[in-house]
Amino acid sequence: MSRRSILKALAALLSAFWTVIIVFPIFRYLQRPKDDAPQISEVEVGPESDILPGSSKTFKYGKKPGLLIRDDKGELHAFEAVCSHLACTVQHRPKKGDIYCACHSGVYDLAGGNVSGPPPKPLTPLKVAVNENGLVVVSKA
Amino acid sequence: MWSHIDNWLEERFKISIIKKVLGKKEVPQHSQSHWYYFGGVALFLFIVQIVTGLLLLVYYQPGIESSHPSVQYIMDKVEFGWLIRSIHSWAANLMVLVVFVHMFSAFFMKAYRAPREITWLTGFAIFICTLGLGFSGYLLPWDEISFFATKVGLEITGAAPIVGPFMADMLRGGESITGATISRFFELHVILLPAAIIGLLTLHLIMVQVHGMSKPYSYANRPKKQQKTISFFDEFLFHDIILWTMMMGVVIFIAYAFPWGLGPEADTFAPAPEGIKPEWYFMFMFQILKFLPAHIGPFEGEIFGILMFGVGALLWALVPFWEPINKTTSKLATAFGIFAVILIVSMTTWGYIESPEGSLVEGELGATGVSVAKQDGSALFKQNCSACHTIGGGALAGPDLKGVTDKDQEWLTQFILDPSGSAMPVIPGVDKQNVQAILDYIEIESDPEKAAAAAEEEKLAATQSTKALAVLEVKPFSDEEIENGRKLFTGVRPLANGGPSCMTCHSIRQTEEAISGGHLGNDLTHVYKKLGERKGLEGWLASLPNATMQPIYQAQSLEAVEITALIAFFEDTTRRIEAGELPKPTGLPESAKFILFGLGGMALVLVFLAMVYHGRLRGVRKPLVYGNNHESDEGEQ
Repeated sequence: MSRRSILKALAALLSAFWTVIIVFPIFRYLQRPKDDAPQISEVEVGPESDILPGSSKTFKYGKKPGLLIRDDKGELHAFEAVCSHLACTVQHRPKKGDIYCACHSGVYDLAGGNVSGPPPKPLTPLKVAVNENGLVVVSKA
Repeated sequence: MWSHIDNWLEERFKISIIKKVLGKKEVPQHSQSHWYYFGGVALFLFIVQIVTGLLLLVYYQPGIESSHPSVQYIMDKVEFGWLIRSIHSWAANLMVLVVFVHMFSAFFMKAYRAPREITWLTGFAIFICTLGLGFSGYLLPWDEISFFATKVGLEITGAAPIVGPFMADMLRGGESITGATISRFFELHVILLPAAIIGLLTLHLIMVQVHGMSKPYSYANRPKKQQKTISFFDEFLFHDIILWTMMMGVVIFIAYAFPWGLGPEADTFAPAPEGIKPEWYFMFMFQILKFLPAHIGPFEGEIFGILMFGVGALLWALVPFWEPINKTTSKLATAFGIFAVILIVSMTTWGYIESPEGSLVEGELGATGVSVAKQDGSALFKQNCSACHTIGGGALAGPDLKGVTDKDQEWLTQFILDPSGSAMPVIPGVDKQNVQAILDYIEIESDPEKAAAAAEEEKLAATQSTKALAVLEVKPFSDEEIENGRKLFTGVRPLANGGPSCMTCHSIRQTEEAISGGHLGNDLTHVYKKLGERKGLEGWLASLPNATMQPIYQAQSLEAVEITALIAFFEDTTRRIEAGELPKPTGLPESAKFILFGLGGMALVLVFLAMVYHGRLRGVRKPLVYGNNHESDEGEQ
């Protein structure tokens, strides 16, 4: 083995040490530490009586926006108001009776099903219940 | 494949030209040639500063509300955050030191002489920018010391004639240091000064390439054949790489072994902490200003001093233009340099002798300790407590003490006598009588209306202290008590008076898996030591005095048996940690191991590399490399 090849190997090893000792801490540093905030499992949205047929209410579901809608038949639906296409926040259009995403004109029906436009799948549904105090409680489906 | 890439790059960048230039570059070898390396080391430290600075920017949020908490977050929560910040701070100090050395060595070796004036001037400008970086970066964590250091620094700037007030106001963004100052210093620190340095440095380095390394007269006057050189590429570069690796090791090791601290958040209305002093590289100026009389001729002492600094710096920067050039050595410039070195070193030393690390604080408090018995509570409070506490004036570094005496007196006394584990320092020479005097003073100063409510609360305190039991005798707790404590902590056994179990808000690393409870309260793994062991804990648990717990547990206080059991449980936790039964719960075991392993490996490889590399110079090749005749010897093989 020549001196040159040993030198080359050692230089490579030194570079490897350099790389690891620098890259590894930086990689770990850049990963944001885990959030201590507890996971939201259910949210009280408000009094059931406030939500009339054909109206809706947006609320915070943990870190995501939520959408609570009462359809004309009086039934309550709740979704994560996050479009299944590219995650824009969707809105209820009472006049057209649908849910609309303005980013790329995605349309969902009031049950959350994707009707037209780019959305590939329905909105993520949430479970709706009314508790003993008359408050609408939304939780994971 | 490689030749393909080589060709592609060659066509575009003409690398062969650069290679040719670098290959021809030679570094003079003489008794003083080790000074040549300091420029490279300064450059390396600057790169370290850029990399770590960019990383800190990921989490740092400049602003009066966010600066301090975000730095705290980097240090406590982000993995390797403590290390990266510590490296940034230490490498900054080393960089200033190395830049000083580099500049002075260039000065004494007369490296500034024609045609290298531009190299010298850009170097001097980089030096000023480096000091500016140090000064502006110091404020950004927004802790107590940094606030006052900046305040004093800007006052001095403001005292400079004519431009002073304007510059100080410009830097401060107003009359006093506020969030606006943080924004301005932030911009200076992360954009303007680094950009200026990069520009100046480029010019500086180009100039070094254009003119080559400067040669001292004694060397340049030798016959050509005796002017020994080494090739820059690769002999000098190899030494540089070794030095850089060693520097890297040194910086990481210092940063690891002496982590850079973070003081309490700055309070713009709090009195300056005692023993405050500037960064070491400003110490000599600080000391000279202190030493000047109030009036010198028509000037105020301070203004005179600042003028002299200005004149001195100007003379220093313009040395290539005023130095008599017809002589081989200029005694005048050398004398000026020696004078500067002596002045800086002596004044810095004097400054540190006068106020060595923390001694000002200790000295003052020591004096208090001696005469403590003669003083009343008011004076004691003002001297020992008021730096961090107010009575009804809001929280400073420590909590507002208004009404603090409503808490368990015995615990308070114990805590003031021995606050180990908390951030509070021990008051030197304090005894129970002094503590009582302080507590009495606090009680009087607290809201007088408290007196009415006092009767009722006294009753409560009385019931609590009768509950406080005789756990103070030194006897081991039974396994039963420890187990009971564990059950109470986790809520398996509910608390008798209906209070929520500890685990609702606290976690503790008691078993291998750790009992992971809520995060609202602190981790209680070290609570036994922190709150003063059995006696301290007993006091604490009997009254649960902190702001969050008090309202919850006042009506649902702990039973005596419960207190004993919990103390037993906490004590057992500490015992098991000390016995090594539990994994050491420090914040950085894995990362620390990693760093040390990496450094060790690097050192080992470096030693081998140096051995093999230098071995090649034995025998016939040595004169080829160290001789002056190696036009034909670019590659060593």
